[in-house]
Amino acid sequence: MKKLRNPSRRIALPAIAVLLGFLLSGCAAPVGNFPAVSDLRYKPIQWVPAEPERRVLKNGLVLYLLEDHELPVIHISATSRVGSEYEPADKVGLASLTGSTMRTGGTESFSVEEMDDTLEFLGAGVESSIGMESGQVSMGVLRKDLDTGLRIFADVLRRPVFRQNRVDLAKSQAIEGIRRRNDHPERIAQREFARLIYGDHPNGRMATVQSIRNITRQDMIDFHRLYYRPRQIFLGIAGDFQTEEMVAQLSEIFSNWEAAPVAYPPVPPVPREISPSVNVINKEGGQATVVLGHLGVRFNNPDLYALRVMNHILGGSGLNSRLMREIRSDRGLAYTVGSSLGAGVRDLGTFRVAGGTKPQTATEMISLMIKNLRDIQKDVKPEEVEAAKEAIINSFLFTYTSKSAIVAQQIFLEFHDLPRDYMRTYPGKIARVTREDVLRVAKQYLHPDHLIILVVGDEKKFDRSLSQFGTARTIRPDEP
Amino acid sequence: MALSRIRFTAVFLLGFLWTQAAMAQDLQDRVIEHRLKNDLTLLLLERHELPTVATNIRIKAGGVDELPGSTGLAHMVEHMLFKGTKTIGTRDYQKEQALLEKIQTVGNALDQAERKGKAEEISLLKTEFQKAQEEHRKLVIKDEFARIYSENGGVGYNASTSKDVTTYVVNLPANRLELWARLEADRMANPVLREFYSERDVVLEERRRGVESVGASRLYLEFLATSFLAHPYRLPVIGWESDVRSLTPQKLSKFLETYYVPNNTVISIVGDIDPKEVIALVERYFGPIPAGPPPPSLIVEEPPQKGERRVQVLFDAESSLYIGYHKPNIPSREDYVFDVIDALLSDGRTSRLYRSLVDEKKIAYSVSTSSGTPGARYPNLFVLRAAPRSPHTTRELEKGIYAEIDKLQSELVTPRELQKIRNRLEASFLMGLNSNSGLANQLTYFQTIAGDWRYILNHRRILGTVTPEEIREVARKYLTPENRTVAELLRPKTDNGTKP
Repeated sequence: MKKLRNPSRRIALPAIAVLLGFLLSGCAAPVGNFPAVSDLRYKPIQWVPAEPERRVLKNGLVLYLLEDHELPVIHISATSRVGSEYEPADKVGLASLTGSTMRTGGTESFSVEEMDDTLEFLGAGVESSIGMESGQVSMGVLRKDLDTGLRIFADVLRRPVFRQNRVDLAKSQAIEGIRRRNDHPERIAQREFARLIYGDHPNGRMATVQSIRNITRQDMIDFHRLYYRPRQIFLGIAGDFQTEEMVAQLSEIFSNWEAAPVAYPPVPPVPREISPSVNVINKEGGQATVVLGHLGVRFNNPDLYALRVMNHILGGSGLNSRLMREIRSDRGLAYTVGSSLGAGVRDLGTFRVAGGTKPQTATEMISLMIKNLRDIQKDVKPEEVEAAKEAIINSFLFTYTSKSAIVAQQIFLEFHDLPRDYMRTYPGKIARVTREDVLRVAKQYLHPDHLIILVVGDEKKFDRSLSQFGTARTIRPDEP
Repeated sequence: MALSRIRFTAVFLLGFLWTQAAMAQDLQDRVIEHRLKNDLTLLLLERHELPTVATNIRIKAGGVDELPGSTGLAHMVEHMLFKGTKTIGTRDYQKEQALLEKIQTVGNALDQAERKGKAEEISLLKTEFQKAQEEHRKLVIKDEFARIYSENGGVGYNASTSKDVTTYVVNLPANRLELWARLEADRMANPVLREFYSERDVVLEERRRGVESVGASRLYLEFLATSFLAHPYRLPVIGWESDVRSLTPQKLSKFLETYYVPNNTVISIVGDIDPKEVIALVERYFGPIPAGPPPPSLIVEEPPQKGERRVQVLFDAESSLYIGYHKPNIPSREDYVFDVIDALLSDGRTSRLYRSLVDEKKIAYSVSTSSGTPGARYPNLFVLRAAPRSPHTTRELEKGIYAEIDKLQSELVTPRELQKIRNRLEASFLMGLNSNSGLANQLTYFQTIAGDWRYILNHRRILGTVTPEEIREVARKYLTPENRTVAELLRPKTDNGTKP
């Protein structure tokens, strides 16, 4: 992004009309002298975000480096091609446990006690985790402690030993986490909604007490050895260092790490045919929590820009969105309500509308949610589209809040084969979205007649029967 | 928006230290302090990494400043300040005024009728009320503050209410600072309490979501209500349901007049700024707002505790535990000693409670501590929170925790352990300097609570002087059975004795 446009030219029309209207009416003088917002003028912002340096070590390990000398601190993170999508169906939880135990199970050169003592005495941190599609090992350290920090960081990445007693501890903690995951209605609702959408596909699977019990120390050793290989790893380095020195140091540490091809098991495509359904999980007390929606899109979809604008108008922009206005602000039915457009990287994500209200207004809220999906397919006002575009473009600066964030963005793009200029071209692509585009994508990608609806709440107290939305069935969390 | 901060986190108590680093070393000289004639305090810090600014407005008013029967008032005020001014959020304020008065009169009558349960009167009033509201809606521009900020690239536009303070924040592109000054000065000077009744329903939903749906929140609420007898720290910021239902615009106006005055406000701006320009801007917009009389001070003092208090909450959730001990607040020397105890017990994997309860005895799923709960303006609590790992119970956890407290009272902390704590606080301070909004938050918080933002700088120097003997002494004096309150969250027993 070369320069932030001066959006004073683009203040939406209705604001001007309204404020002029006010000035003409000449109302009671407020305290202080407040110009109309539309009369304010702003200097343009000239700013070019820093570009990280890209290097590749001989074994294929990719480095992105960005110096930042404001504070004597260095952050390093390794993003790896590994994920829960590759774990066997009877060992769900293996990826996540492998990720955390790489750090907490000790390494060839450091017992876990030594590692904890050393890092914490320096005020440094090394953490490791594995998610659905990628793994992270990250470190934050003061510049003066870089050498010590790097030795531990590299060991966690390359030579974890998964000590048996630490494997046992991690498994017991995971099982306790499973026992506790139904304590919070919103978490139940989001998790069970994903299961309803994805079924047995890896995106919808979740760990069970049995699947955790099935996991052995050897499984973790194998999982790590299989997927942590130089060509599958991107290192992001930001902070108070000199690039050439850092590259030299990292080559020394990592150059004897042999590259090897990784055979990734095939991940099945997300099933496209999903029948609509109405589901209720009975839970007494408090609110009724609603999640409804269907499959969404992929990150590389050319319509993603128009979809982002559409979602901003519908329910993705807090108080400014239609869902918030109608359900919260006008009617006082909810504290939180909104929509999210999860764009999946490898495969389709989910489109969700979610909110919470008292059980006595549960179906009223669901009806309003569905009505809003239909309404946005029929009409959007030009000023709504303009306001959404302004908001997305003008807040784009905040995606660059730190040098490590910039490095992480570049790694994300390369990791997912997205163009390197993705960030730079993003505001321009949003700017070109038209009202017609928004209407078209609302019609094409929203399916108010093919929804999966899930309510967690006290069904006895609902204002009307859920059957008005289709045949309702009662399900229980965690059950197949 | 509008978090009522009933979560359990010691957000402010870790890691505000003076260090060797350039940025930190300079903080003393780089923060610019400016006081307006109306006694509004302005704190500025230049950071030119990115062409953005973080703004933070802190009002010294929160849950503790409410009167009995009006709990939830400070939080409701915070919600209502999103509704606009005489020039924001309205198509015609003059026309609106008469309607607002009518809605208020009918609304009050309706509230009273509903409390008395007079069905016929309720139905008549409801019709009248809805008609007036519909008419009023035509004059409202919905959520205009939010829309203007959003269109101008604002992010993180939000507010929160705690027991001690109310905070309004937004981050903006640096060239939009005048927009911020124009909107925020207007918000302070000319708030209009429109759409009050629907917003009151929103707050009731917020309460249902936050307190009634989540066992841990309900436990925290009862834990505080048991720990304090007299002091308003016992009351929930979100309010008791019956209190919230009976809040009126009149009560809110009075609160606004009393507390939302420049002499009770601290503002910080951190980021890509020219301090001279910013001072001129703030003078221009906030300068004309008249100072008010000094807000009243709280007279009530919590009587010393005379024996352990216990409370149980039965809820459809896995068990957990709070233990709290009364202690002095800022600027007491003992408050600093508790910051060290806090870190010793639960900061990191090598902390005493984590090692003992999670790693070794394997009876805890999680354990944490906080010093300065639920606020810092008045004497407060040192709090331990833990969740047992099945099949262990909250009682076993309690025993494990008391064993570690015994150790604090009998053995001296080693110099290396103390050094570790200092190092960790220093490093986390340095890493935290990277955040404009974090810095802005600390500046107004400590200026408001400690009376001087330099608390941030002095904190490490003072912590560095805390001795092992002092830690033992403070532990012996305060961490006693007579001074503690224990709250347990337990699952109600069902007929067949298992969980439902």
